[in-house]
Amino acid sequence: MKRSQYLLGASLISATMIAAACGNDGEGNNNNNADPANDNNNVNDAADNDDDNAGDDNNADDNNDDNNDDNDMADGDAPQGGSVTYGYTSPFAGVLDWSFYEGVDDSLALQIFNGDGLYSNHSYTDFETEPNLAHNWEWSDDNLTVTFELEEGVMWHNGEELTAEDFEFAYEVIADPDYQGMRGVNVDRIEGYDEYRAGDADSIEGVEIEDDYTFSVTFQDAYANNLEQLWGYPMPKEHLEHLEVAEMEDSSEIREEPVGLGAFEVTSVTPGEVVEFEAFEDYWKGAPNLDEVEYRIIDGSQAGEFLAQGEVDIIELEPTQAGPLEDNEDVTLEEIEALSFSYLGFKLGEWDGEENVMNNPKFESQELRHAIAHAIDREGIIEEFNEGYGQVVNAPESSIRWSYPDESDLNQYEYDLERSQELLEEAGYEDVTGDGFVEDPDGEEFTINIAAMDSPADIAEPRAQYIIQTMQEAGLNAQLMDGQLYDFNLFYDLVEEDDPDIDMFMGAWGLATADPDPSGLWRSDSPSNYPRWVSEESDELIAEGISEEALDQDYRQEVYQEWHQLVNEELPMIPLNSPENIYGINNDVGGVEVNVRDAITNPEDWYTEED
Amino acid sequence: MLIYTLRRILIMIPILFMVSIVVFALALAMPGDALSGQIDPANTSPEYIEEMREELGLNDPIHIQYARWATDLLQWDFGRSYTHQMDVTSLIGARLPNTILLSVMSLIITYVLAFFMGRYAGRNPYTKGDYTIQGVNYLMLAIPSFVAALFAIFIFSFQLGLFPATGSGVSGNEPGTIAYWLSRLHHTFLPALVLGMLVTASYTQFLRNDIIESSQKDYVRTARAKGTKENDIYNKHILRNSIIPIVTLFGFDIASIIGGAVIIETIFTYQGIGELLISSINNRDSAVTMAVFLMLAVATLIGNLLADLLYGVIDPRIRVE
Amino acid sequence: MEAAQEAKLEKQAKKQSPWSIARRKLWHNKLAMISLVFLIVITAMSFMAPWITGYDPNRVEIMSRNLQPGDGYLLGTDASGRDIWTLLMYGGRTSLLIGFICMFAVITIATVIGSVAGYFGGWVDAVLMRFTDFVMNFPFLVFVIVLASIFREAGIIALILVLSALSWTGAARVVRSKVMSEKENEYVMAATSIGGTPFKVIRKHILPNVMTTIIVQATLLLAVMIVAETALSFIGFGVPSGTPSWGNMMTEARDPNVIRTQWWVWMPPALAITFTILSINFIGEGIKDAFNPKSAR
Repeated sequence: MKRSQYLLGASLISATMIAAACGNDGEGNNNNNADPANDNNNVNDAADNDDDNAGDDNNADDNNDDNNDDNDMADGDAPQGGSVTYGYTSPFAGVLDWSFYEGVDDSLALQIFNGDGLYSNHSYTDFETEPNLAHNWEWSDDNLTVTFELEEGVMWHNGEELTAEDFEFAYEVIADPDYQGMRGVNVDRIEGYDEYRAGDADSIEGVEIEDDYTFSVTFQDAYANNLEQLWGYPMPKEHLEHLEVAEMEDSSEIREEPVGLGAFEVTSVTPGEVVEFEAFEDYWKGAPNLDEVEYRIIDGSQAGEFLAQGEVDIIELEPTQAGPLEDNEDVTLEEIEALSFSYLGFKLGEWDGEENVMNNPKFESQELRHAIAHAIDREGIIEEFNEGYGQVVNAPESSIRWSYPDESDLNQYEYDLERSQELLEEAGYEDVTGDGFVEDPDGEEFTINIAAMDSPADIAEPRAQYIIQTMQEAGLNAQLMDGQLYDFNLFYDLVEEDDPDIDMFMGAWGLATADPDPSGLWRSDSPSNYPRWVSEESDELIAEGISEEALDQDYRQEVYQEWHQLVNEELPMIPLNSPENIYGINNDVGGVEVNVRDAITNPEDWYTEED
Repeated sequence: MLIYTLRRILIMIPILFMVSIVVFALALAMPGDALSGQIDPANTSPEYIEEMREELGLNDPIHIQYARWATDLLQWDFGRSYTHQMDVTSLIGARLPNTILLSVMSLIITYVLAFFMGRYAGRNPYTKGDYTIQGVNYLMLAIPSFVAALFAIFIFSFQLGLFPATGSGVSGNEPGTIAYWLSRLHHTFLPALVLGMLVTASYTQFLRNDIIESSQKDYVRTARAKGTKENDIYNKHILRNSIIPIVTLFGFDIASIIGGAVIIETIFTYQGIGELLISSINNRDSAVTMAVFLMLAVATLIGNLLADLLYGVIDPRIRVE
Repeated sequence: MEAAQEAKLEKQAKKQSPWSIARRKLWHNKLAMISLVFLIVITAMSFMAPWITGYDPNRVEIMSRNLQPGDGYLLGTDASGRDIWTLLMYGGRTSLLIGFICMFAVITIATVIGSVAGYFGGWVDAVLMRFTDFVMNFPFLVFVIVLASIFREAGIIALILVLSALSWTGAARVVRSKVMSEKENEYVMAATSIGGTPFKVIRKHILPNVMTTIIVQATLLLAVMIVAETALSFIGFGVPSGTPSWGNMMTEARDPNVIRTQWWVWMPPALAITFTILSINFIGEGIKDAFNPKSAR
């Protein structure tokens, strides 16, 4: 039950999903989408949360229950052949392997040709894990060892059969001393990880293969979310084993000719622009309806345009783009509440290579941070820049998750410039020079550089300017860093590297699907803790949240409530809102289900009525 | 002529050398490591940068670095793109055909338009038609290409729905098929038209004035007196003489197209070299930026050389100078 | 009677320096005069913007985003809720100011280099002209973009410096050839022979005669500079994005949806730029015509 948190950052507010960090999003994706055949709960829940979708999704789910009775149409009626294009608006990095990928840009392609994981998780509100590549698993009595039984006859695109070795191989790659990726947290609880990582062991002690289709994993400690935390994607050993781990990420085996086991196989990759796929007839759940799928990067500002023209069939839209398409007869809009939140973070310190160090005195004062929070018109931002999609949050968590804290115990930080000015005064920030902006308690000039990214194109600039404007009205000399907005990859690179010019930054996180464990984003030793906030109390609460005791759901909720209150009070980042995602789907295309992450729930069920 | 050509080409060598020095100097000023593209330009950790600089020899004396870089260039190694994680050479190779298609199409449109408009205005000077063409010319000269592009998109793509507003038409069709080429031409027409406008205006003007001037000349009068048909006079005698100088300007067109292409490609999100330049600057992908800059500078250089040579062919006096 | 009239005519003829002839010719050139009036009006409005409009060109008004023209907003509002009419004037201030400053800087550089090269000739000329050719060999706009991206943080000043540093070449060549031909005139030789220093000779005897050429070049340059600034701002390498300028106003139109549905956001600056350039071109033509002794008007 549970699953760890993490993200795929999402671009502010509009939840264009992004990249950046971390551990478990892979699993998140996995759980979420991987398995159309069994994936019903997931979408049902989505539908429950979102009336607009209810009809369609339920339908699809019911059909999915009978394993491969795909589509909304009766079996066999779905048109065969044709091609569907899935669009995305930021160039993909091209790391087409789950163990190495970093962002949504690549995960979308991965979902299409390699979406299946060990198990699938159906819901982000209840916590059932459902069989997928593993049709069954059992826990030992001490809650330390889990034994998986794999499906037989699952084929890789290179003709090899999936075996337990492919999972062991994935664990060994991630645990390898030369592994530079960010999935370490998904295997580091396995018994023997530390020895293997240090290069002192030839294999990971806790991973044991019984036969081709059976393997077990033993963990060091019995945590509440061990299963959800465990890495769920196999790697094609036959395809990759001749490579050194250090060279895998840049290898043509991963970037140009990746091998997966999904319903579609990669035929060509044009870096940063297009990935083309064709049907994989030996897909273990049955051949897909379509002949071809294309994953294409387009200019974000024209997503709506392309969709209406039919150049792209499925794409996530900005709220401002969705509006004009509402009456379009060629396009269906699907809305779903997103498992993500956007925020305005403070740079409190830096990452020293091992852990976060809170060494930046600039925002030391808690009153100052509170004052800034009161100077942000969060309601107005949603209303005016996000067309009302989404809602204000006061905790770094999606408002739809069970672990979202009780708001009545949180500071609300309503938009109130007078309150903001009061707090500034209390903290000793006063306008000494009379230029309309406060100076710091030492009387030095106090400016705040805000880094922001350039997406979504149509509102990024005015939104950033508006935030800066209200801060200036409160007397804070806020400025846009370098007077420009950054490309999203560059933005996250700068944030991640703690660029010294950044004082505050406007980012967003997508969260892992089912488990709310905040370790990956918030522990003092997590590189993705971008505010670089270090708090012993927080670390303790986070640890408590995944302890064996937390197998008790109610207790776990209490722990998280307490943790959220702590974050809310200390305010290392100002949570802005929890958005809604909107997908536009061309009406010629059917069988598409949206989920909290993307619209690739079951690509083998996609079909097109286009000639 | 041969000697003149050889001399001109020889002069190119020191110029190329100096161009490379300028590019090299700029590369040193770019964030990251623009020479080989190995250092992550967004990583600002001093230790990381220092370590990588040491490793890549960026702490060597400048002239050694230059020599290494220039040697790589001569071996066709332009470094590596940090954002795309691939060789700059193949990245440019993938984009170049699009830009070439755009330029060629733009030149064709330019020549065709200028030819017909110039001929008409030249044969019917001081008529309504001529004044209309003149007016259009003034407008084309005054309107900046990016403004023209917006109007073109507004009118042709949105009001009339004739052409797609964006893209290069590469994807969606099997490469090599007729549909594929039609789609590409369809996507390329509008940016090519806008790109060619400025040049079209000056050619039209040139052709018009030249035709008017020629029609007063003695040999034309003689021909006319001999009873040669008006059409023949214009087509055989005048046009032939007037078109040659225009063709020689071809080299300079290359230069002007390069500048224009950067902006036009960006507006039409046309996946060419210019768009690559802008996006790599925005991504701080300095190695790509420098390689594209170098490439465009060399192309301009060659364009100017070509212009000089063609001019030499037309006007032999220039060779002596 | 007759004698008096003759004397008057004579007097008039004496008064007719090339400058006054040119002025009269220009005065009768309707197109040029209309253009001049237009340019003066648009410049004046830009610089008096704070007295003409009550709106703040920088303030984001989230309650009035993307409004159509009318209802208190003459030309509607942009995505930040800023009044387009106000932005147009403040933007004109930035764009025209940059255009004029760059023009003066460029024409100064061009005049100095051109006249030094033309006057002294020999190796000085050779060196300066090779250098000019060399700078000309770079694709102007691309070079500007690369340089501007390196100095992005320095803002408008850097933009002006970069533009000026790269665009003097054409004008310098023209000035040089004009100076070379003026140098051959007898009065220049005379001035040199009685011991005038080169600086004095150039300033007193050559430059006044090259002035017309310089003025024509200057008008051309003004147009080029305005286009360069707006184009650069449009693609994000010009004036910092918070400062209103005609180019910055149009950046929103990089979204085709804006081109289609919100014409009032991009069309006003687009037309302002086009008509400004057009009028500068007409003025330039007019000046050229006016100083051309062959043209009758």
